[in-house]
Amino acid sequence: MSTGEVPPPGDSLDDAARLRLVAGLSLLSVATRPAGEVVRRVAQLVVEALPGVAEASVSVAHRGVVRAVQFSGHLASVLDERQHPRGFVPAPPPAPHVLVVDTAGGGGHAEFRAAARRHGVHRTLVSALPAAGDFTGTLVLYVEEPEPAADPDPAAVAEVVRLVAVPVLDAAAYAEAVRRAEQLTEAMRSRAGIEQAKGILVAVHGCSPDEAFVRLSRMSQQSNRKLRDVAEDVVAGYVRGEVTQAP
Amino acid sequence: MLEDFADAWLRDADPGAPELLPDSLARACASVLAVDGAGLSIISRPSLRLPIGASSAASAAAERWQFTLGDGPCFRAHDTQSVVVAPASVFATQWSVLQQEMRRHAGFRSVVCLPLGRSFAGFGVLDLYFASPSAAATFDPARALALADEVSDVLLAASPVPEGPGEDEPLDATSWLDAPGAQRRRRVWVALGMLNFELRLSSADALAVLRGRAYAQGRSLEELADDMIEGRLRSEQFLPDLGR
Repeated sequence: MSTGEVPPPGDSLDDAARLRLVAGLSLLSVATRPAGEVVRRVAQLVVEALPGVAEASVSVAHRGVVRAVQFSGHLASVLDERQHPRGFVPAPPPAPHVLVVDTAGGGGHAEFRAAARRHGVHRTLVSALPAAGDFTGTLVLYVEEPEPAADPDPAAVAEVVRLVAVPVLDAAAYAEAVRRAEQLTEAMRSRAGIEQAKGILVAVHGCSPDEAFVRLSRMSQQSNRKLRDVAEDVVAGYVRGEVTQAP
Repeated sequence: MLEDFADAWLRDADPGAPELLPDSLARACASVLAVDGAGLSIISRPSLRLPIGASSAASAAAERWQFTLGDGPCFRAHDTQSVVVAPASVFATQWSVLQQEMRRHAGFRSVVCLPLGRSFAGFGVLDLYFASPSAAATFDPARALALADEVSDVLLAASPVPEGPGEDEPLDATSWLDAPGAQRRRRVWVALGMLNFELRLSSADALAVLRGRAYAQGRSLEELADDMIEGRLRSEQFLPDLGR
């Protein structure tokens, strides 16, 4: 493995490729499609923009936990790092460096190199997307040509990294916000359900809300079920007219 | 403006008291936007609404009256996911009862309500209150909308949700979902449970009878819930024939 030099200043994507990539990225509307789809499309656009690259994958992590991995093509089934222990894919060097991994070479990440080699990949180029808040991303390029001369120019890779970082990390941040909002609503509902169940137990037993909470907790513990599910049963049980004696 | 806002709430917030974060955010909104009051609530239809932060006691009271009556500009802002501007003239035609209660209990005469989380389904509202009857009409909502988006991001980032898919919500960790106003509001659901059982009422009907009594007596749902839980008010007293 070798860490490439910092690319020289200047952009070395050719004008037509740059235009196609920028146009493709501008069509990705974060709010109207799932984040995974946005990220997969970005991986495909990267392959179209960089000659010599057979396939690309883009992964996104939130606070170090991988949230999405998308491949432009068939390698997904064998190289998706979520099916492997952590550290399967070599970690990228800080941007704008590019890590070039020779799949026939020695060193670490033997399992990853062997899997890639089996599927005709001679080299992989690993780059970090510039971090945005808690989100980080990695772009991996897969080259099937045996000759290193076929590798994309490091400056072109660096430019692609710069161009794709914003849509990729935006999509991830948006998906995370949606997930949080949904779970927040869920948390709110389940807490209200617990309060309502407490009220039913207060009425049934003539106890205080705190004592009712202890009863609910005990029911949850004894049945080895979540408090919110037990509470839901108490509320639903009333609706069906089943709460007629002390639970 | 966003820098001023971040400055204001970060200076105000106590890292050791996450449940008071929304109060800090509400105060920062009121000060940066120069309005008379600001309140933050999270909403999940049809009836779940928790007040999480307020810039002042009057702002908290104004929210309680919107919830007690179950209607008002804040509900519309959430339902339509858009800014609702309610100067006194709009209040008078659409929410005249609420207008009286808000003036009487909080001293506010006009309101602007903005949705939180409007770029997705929406999970709450930012209410801005004015003592002047016409101030809402001349207020420029663009800056407030930018603040509402910022508040949404801060709340979601600090929300008590599991870090990964498939994990459970950390119920025991204190968060802004345990804001004092929200805890107080939760007692209303205890009262609903009592009415569910004792009067065999559905939750919607229980909330309706509670709201009816609160309005008739000029009291908030929280006060009635306290009375029920502490035994000063019995379910039978909600039955219409006992009043005669």
